[in-house]
Amino acid sequence: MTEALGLLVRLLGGLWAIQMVGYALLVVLLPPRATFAPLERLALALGLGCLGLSLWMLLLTCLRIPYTLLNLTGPWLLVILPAWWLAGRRGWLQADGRSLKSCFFAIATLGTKPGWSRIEQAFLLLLILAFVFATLRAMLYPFWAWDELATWGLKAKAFYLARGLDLSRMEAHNYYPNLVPLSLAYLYFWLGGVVETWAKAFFPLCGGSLVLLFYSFLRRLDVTRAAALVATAFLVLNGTTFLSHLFIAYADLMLTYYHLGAAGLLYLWVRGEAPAGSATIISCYAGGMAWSKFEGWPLVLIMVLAAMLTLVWLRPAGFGKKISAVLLMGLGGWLLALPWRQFVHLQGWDVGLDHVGGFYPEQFLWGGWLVLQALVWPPYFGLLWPAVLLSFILAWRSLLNAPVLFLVLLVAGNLAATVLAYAIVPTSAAEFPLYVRATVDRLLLHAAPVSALIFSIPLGSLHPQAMPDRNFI
Amino acid sequence: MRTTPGRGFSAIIIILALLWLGQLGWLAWHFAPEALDLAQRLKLGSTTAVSPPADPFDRWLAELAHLLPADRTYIFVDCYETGNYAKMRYVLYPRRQLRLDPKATPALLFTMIQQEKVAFLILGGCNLDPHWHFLCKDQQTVFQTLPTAGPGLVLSVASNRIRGGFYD
Repeated sequence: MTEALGLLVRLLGGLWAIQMVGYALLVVLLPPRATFAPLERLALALGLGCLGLSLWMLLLTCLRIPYTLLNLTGPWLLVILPAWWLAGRRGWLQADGRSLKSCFFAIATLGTKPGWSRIEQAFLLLLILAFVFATLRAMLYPFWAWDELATWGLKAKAFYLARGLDLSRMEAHNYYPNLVPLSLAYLYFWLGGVVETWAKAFFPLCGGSLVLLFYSFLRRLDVTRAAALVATAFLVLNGTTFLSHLFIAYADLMLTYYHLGAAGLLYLWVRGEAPAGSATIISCYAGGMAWSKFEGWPLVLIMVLAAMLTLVWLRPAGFGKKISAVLLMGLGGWLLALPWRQFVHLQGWDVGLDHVGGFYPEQFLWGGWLVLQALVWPPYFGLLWPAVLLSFILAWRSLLNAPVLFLVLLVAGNLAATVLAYAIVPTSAAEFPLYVRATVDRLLLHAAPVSALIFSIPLGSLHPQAMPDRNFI
Repeated sequence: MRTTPGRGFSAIIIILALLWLGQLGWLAWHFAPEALDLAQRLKLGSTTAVSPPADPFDRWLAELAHLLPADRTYIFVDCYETGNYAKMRYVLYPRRQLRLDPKATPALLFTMIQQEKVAFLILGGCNLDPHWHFLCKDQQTVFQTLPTAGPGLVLSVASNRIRGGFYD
């Protein structure tokens, strides 16, 4: 019991440290006039924390400085302490503290505090149940899923034991980006060993930040609290894919989180409603996408292309400047992914040879058919993708003549890229359907929250009374 | 501009909501066995207790982790399809794993042992070609069988005793 309590304290310390690093970076990167809500800052801090810490770990390896908890965390105090002071001066610290308390209170009392309707309580309870299950499921089982053992978990163990980013004793897609294994290894340093069950609490936290971000975007778009909670529950509790990724140590959830953050803010930016400083966060999140998974960088390119096509189609005022700004955001993401590319180049590793062969037309057609099947196969995503398709059919005119076109193009681009990826993968005809079945759910997961935004955003215009409450809770 | 939903739209939303409720029921049914297992684990307090692994392969891996020194290299001979190599590589890390297909020739085995300074050979239980069994027929100077209780066979390898080139 004492041992478990000790591990819990250490785990909470590690997770808190990641959040604090991210919060400090957020305060430093955002201008004082940035109007991000406390819940948004809370949700964005995780992504910036993982990005900052993992890049710092990469730098330590390049400088041949071994990882210790002091080396990994100590220098960040130089950023965290002034950032806290700055946040206090801006009044963010006080507002975020109040919001965190209110959010915790709402969860602890299962939404029974005054002002919450039965519908709101019911859907909050559903979300709480989902996350309690996922957290216990993550923390009571060791690694068992394929990529936990073969890639992400293995790398985390290797980095912890080697006290650095050392892949010399294994071959496990070594060129893959390392944000997730480095984040897990960071938690191992807090836990004092490879305690994989406890470290897996990172994934429900990541899923929680994703859900908070999704809910916050809807609230920012004037969707009522009840509708936003229903839409969030609809995203989480549809099929098994999202729920499963809350408790397995795969990098796909982190990529999905960064994707939602970058795309959601870019959508607000195209609408002209993004808070000040959003462009910097979009760049960081684009970097996070590329540093989470091999598929991340192509998704960044699709996002930039979708934003540019939307701007070309809608021709808003200041068109040229906006195009340049989108390109700069993409460039920022590329710069953040550059250190790892350079590291891989210096190691002389082949990149992508296991995933890229030639273009096989028969795989393109077959892959396209299997992807379509996966979209409507209920065990993967339930009614999520059919609902997206339905909202497109019902409102295609308004979708094609409004900034939401960006999200439509982004999702279409994601689906096209998935089919294209299947067309170029070097597998035999016998292996191909097995390969698709083993990967299609997580490839579709990357775009699922963004696609859920497409049918959730119109909920803001359905309700006769607007509820512009920037506290969101 | 805010709009009031039409009847057709409301009907679609109601149908979707009903289908989703049905789907929620299916989801609860799907995860029910895992939820029951979680409750059992919580009841037994298996968050802290180090219970022995139930699976024979897992028990074997735990034994190997004590037996093989951490800085050595081993060859694992098994079918890729079993997926056992991934679990073994994870559990036995930082020991370096090299893989060989059960259909690999003896020349490839000896070349690999010589070049990579292999200290252990682990034979999995999957479709081994007959020529692998000569390794453990009698106690040779290069291969020594190690006593382990598991689904496979573990041999220590004296790689310094292997000299010359090998051709099939």
